[in-house]
Amino acid sequence: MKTSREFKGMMLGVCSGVAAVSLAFAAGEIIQPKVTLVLDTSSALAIPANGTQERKGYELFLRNCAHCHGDDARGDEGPDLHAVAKSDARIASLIKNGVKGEMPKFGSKLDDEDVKSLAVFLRSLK
Amino acid sequence: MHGGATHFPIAALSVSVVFDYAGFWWRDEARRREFTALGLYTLLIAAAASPVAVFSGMMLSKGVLLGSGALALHHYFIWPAFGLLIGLAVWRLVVRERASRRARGYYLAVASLALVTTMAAGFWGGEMLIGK
Repeated sequence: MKTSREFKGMMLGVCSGVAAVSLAFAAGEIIQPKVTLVLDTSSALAIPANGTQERKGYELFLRNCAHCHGDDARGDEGPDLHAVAKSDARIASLIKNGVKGEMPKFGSKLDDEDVKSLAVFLRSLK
Repeated sequence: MHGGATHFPIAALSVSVVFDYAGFWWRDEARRREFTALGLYTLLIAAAASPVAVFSGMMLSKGVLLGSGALALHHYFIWPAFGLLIGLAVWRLVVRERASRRARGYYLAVASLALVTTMAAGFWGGEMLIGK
């Protein structure tokens, strides 16, 4: 009796866990803004060489910026970062102070060296 | 909202696991039952609060279920942790105090795994805000 209750609990537990995650995924699909998917492998970012400032910027970009600006930096929720027509000082200021209501500030998270690496990486985007 | 909503279930799950370990190892039988009951209630609170944390997170990420970088790492851990938390809560509700010692041992192992994955998800969530 005890074992069957434990087994029943396990089966119900597994089903409930899977159902909870599935429901969350379904909710995510509903929340997600619908976009037209354009498959273009040429737009993937080239990975800079190890040990360069550009590589550091690339890694910082993937960790901090890609979920808004897209893995390829071609824009998603945030704008396309290719061929940014802004000075390095302006780019640094935007990264550090953000844009009210649009982009979070990274000034307390990234130091000057990080911001500079990000700017170098952004300049490398063609 | 997400920051506030996540810490409550994390704290409740942590406390639940501690109580359940105490309920497993404590010598005094009456105290053991009390610890186990506390473990159950705090686990149920964690499970009940977790959908709010998950939903607020999805609103924050605009429904992105995996993403990239730190967000992806956060999600690699949070989805299994969420499933485990709900599953464990249902198991406890069905079995109540009638579980064998062996089953409670397995439960503790899985609950510890759920706690570790939750902590890992929390770490990568924090990395998005204050890490590099």
